[in-house]
This record gives sequence, C-alpha cells and structure tokens, in this order.
Amino acid sequence: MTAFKHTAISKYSDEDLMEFVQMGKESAFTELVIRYNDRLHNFLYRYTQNHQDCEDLVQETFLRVHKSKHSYERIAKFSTWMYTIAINLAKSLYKKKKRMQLVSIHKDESNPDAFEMILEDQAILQDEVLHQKLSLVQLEEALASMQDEFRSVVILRDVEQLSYEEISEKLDVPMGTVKSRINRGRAQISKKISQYVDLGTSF
Amino acid sequence: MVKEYHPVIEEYILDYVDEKLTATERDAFEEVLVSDDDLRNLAFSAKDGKKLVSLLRVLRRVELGK
Repeated sequence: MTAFKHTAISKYSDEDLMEFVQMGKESAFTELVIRYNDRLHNFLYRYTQNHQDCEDLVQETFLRVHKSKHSYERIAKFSTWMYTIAINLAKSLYKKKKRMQLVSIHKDESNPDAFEMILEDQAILQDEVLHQKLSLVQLEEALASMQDEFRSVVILRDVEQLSYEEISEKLDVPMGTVKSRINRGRAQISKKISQYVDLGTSF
Repeated sequence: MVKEYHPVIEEYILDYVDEKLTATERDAFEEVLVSDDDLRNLAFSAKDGKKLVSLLRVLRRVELGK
C-alpha cells in the first residue's frame, strides 16, 4: 500500500480508499461518500420508493461503513460490501414498518368525525425482492470482474444455453478449451460470490 | 498457476456438474475427488458457479418482466 496523497485522492480505487479509511484518513471516507451518495440513493429508491427513507438509509449506511471499517477485508469489493450493508438496513426498515402495520389505528365506523390513521407504508417492497435484487447486482458485478475468456463461455453456456459445439464455433476455440474454460469460469464465479448469495434459499 | 487436467477429466467435471453421469460413473468420479483436493475444489466450485449463473438468468428474466 502506497502512502496516502490527498492530491491523488480521485485516482485511488474504492478498495484503496477503504484501506486509508481504516488507517484513519477521514478525507478518504469523504471521497467514498462523494462517489456513492447518489448511486446508493438511486439503488435504495428502487426498493423503498420513498425519498425520505432513502435519505435516512443512505446516511445510516455510511455511518455503518465508518463504524465497521475494521471489519472490511479487501477480498470483497467495496461496493458489494457497502450495498450489502445498505440492503440489510433496508430489510430492517421493512420489518420495522411491517410491525407498525400491526398497530394501525382504524376508523371507528360508529363515529362520523373519526378518521383513519394510516401508519403502514406499503410502498416498500418485499424482503425477498430486496434479496433478489441484491443477488442480481452481485452476480452482474462478479461476472463483469471475470476475464473475458472465462466470462464469455459461461454466459454462452449457462445464460444463453448454447451447446458446447455452438460455443466452440461461435468463439472459434477448440471444444476441449471451451469445456475447460467453462469449468474454471463457473468455479471463479462461485469463489467470487458464494459468500454473499445464499444458494440454499435463492433456488 | 491453474492446474491443467486431461480432457477426459474436464469432460467428467462437466458431466458431474450437469448431473449427466450414471450412478457407476459418479461413484467412480467421487472416488477420484476424495483423493484430489484441487480437483474436488474445482468440481464443487463449478457446481456452485453453475447454480449461481442459472440464478442470474432467472433474475434477469424477472427484471425484464417488470
């Protein structure tokens, strides 16, 4: 790890910045907030459909990132780690809102002046949808980070569902190479992501 | 350094992952897996990787359907 240079801050990778944060460089944390504030807001808005909830969740996520900085390990991509924190907070909010739904105060039909106090917020999406979306983001990121020679065969086989022969022809690569790359490509994606995506419940 | 295997072994890994081995072939292959840590690691990871990419296919369809 090179020494921290404030003038080069925009050139550091997210993971570098996070290591500087662990070393107490607060400006590195500010840079991460600048990079991810809007992205995180957009990411969370798709689930909460509520800007105020998003604002609160974004702030809480950054607070947690800072508080848990020493639990971050470079083996994981910073964005994936942070989105995991964000989604867990969104899940907690959803559960909290669900509990609130149980104590809604309903209108007394016998009283003409009574009105209904709506405490629930049904705009927030289901827990399973949040998990699905997170899984999709992580899977896309894991695929994008693979070397092209492995990524292309895995996509053609497992997403496009082409035969080995078709892949061999399409890529102009011998069949044996296609097969060996599929094995390694699949193994790579598993190593990159299985710690985040629960195969037991997602399938 | 990525360990290279004979094409027949690569074929076995694919068929193991795709669950296309006969019971006898699977038993024999699993015997080999027990004694080769690298091969076992590759085969098991490839199996999980296939499930993950299939999950991606499903999730992409769900996204497209929205």
